[in-house]
Amino acid sequence: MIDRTSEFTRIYEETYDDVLKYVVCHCARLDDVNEIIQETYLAFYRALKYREIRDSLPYLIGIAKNKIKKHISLLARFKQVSLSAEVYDDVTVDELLADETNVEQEVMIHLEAEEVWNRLKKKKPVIQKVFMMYFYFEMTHKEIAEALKIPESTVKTYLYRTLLEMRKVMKTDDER
Amino acid sequence: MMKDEMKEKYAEVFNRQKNLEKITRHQKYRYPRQVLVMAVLILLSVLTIPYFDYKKDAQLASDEAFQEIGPEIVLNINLIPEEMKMMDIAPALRANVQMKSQVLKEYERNPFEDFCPEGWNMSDVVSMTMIEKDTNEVLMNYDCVEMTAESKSIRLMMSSDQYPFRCYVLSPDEAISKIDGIEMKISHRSDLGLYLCLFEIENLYFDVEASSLNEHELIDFLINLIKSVRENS
Repeated sequence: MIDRTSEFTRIYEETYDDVLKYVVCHCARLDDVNEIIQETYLAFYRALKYREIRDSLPYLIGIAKNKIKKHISLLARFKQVSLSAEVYDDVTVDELLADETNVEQEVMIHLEAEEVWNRLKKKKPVIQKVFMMYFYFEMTHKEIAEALKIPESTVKTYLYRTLLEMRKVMKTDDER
Repeated sequence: MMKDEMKEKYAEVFNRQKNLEKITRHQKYRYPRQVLVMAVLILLSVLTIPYFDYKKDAQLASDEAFQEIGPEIVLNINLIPEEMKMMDIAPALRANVQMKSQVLKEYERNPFEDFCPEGWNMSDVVSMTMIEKDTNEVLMNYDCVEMTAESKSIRLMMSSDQYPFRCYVLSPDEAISKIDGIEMKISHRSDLGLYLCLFEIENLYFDVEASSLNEHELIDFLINLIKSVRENS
């Protein structure tokens, strides 16, 4: 008889990244991610007691889907929906991308990851998700756009616009 | 490299080992915790039994005064005149404003589905933004969704800032109706079969435009909307 805890730990290690990616894509706020992950795997652990689960990942994704729905109240969804239209001025994505490599390097010379993280926490959830998918999951702009169901140009705008803003803030801080 | 440092930071915040420890710890203490909760509940039940007067409760239940009453409805409907007056907007502002629209696809499920009448079709949620051209300042942002069935339609606009913009004054009258505790201004144009409702609930501003609905259908819709927003707030 396979020890349930060992079996659970094995499945946890195998599926953690995929479940984390799913939860990040679909949750309302990144602050809820850890809690949703824990609730998902806890429910899975209990389910292991009563049944043999052949395909763990789809089963886990199904649980995660329900947990995410419960975390998002209707009102929270409304408030996020009505605040989601963020308007940028007329700098095109191509102009932003022309400066792409320099922006990343410049930001990180002057800021530590901790500071970038603290500044990111003040941005909209969708921008935080774009950053996590780009830097942690190492997804391409196209993959991020498909996962979040937004245009690829919006992904690039969010990414590089935010980095440019950080660079501006850095320069202002340096001048003080 | 920025990417490596950010990746480490994310791994630290969404730490797989820490999450596993919390899950395992929750499992270890789950059963003793359940037993403790059950014991407390049983103790509370035993201690509070003398305070329940069952005969009195049975009496109250049969008393007509305690029969279920529906939501309070007080209707004071304003009439919209045939010539609706345009809003007095400064010409400079009118010329200097642009509207942008964007179909929102952030969520798999449309949140307005909960109070869409059964069997009706629902459009995508569209976000409307009014921007002043010179300064690029966002003057207003609201979401719009349309529900239709045969010849009937409901257009719902919702904002968390203020009432969505209208180009015309609804009615010169200001009589207020009340549905399920929510005050609202309801205006009606009978020849067009049009109802317009403005109200605020849970810090959300609603503008509902209903076409070819009768009064009863409109009130049912508004009651469901109010109930749904309250349940989820």
